[in-house]
Amino acid sequence: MIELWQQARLDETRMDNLYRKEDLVPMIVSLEKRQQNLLRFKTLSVLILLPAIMILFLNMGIVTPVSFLGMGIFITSVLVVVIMLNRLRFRIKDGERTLSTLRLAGIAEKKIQTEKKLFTTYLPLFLVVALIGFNLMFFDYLMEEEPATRILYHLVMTGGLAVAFIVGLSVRIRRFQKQFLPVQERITKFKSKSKS
Amino acid sequence: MENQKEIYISIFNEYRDKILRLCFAYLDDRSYAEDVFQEVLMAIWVGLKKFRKESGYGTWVYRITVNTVFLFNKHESKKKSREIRDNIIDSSVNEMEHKIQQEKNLEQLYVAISALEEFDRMLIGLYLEKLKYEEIGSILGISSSHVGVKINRIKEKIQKQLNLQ
Repeated sequence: MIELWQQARLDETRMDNLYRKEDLVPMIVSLEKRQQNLLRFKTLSVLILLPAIMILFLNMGIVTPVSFLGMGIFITSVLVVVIMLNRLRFRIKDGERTLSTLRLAGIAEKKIQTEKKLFTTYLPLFLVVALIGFNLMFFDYLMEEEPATRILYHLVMTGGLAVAFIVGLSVRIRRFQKQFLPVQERITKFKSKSKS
Repeated sequence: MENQKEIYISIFNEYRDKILRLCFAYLDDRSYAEDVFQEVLMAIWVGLKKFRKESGYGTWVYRITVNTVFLFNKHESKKKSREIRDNIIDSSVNEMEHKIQQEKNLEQLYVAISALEEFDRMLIGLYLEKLKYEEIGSILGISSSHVGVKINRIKEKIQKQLNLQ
């Protein structure tokens, strides 16, 4: 059986065409760079977007303590969520890849649980805080409107933000089911099989 | 960097067949082999920067391969390619008859292995790569005596499967 297995070799010529020695390192370096650039792009987008919202907001002439408080709450909650998404998202570190598979399975399982907690606990909490902040931002600005109109505006803002959030969350849940549930099942099987 | 490149290329030359065979052993759908293979190559390249030469490259490469294959999610895979699998299966089609028979036997072995549970596939893959029980145990995180017991059971299962074919 071993001999038969060892005979399985790749066609050298075809393999060399697929992974030419002179292209191998540049290919891998560019792949690594692409991943780093994607992360940089995401961070940069948030760093540009937040000051842009602030400038837009100040240009509207809404400068009251309540609106500032609201803006503070909103921006802080967005920043916290961005940092949390970056830090808590499922990612296997380089060092963890060289652990024994059983240990890696345990680590991966915990990370999947954390990922699950993100959208079952942390993100809904973020929505509540962000909604309070967002409504406070426009609280004084809408003060001169009729009470019914004010309530309508606040409801529209709250609803709009909530719908956008729920859409984002459902995408995340679907992704979780697709990406992590199979891995979770595999880990459970792997652990039980390793004991039997 | 130059040194890293040289080591990387020498690892690639020495282990590429072994990495691919392990990918084949583990994946029930071998058409994903190239995707996993690339992920393994990437993990080796990144890991090489922090590699401490406490153990040889062999166990280190096998650990990375087994763990990368273990965590591979085919739903995330961007492309599906049968090319590498075809390399093995088609390579000797026009050669001597006994060679063709060998390919058939190999395909039967693959089928028998893919009928096993994932853990057993990984274990037998490492065994077929001629790793010692201690090495297999340290890679998977189980004792070497447990490896021995399991390998005997798996061999019996494969034999039964081969007899059925």
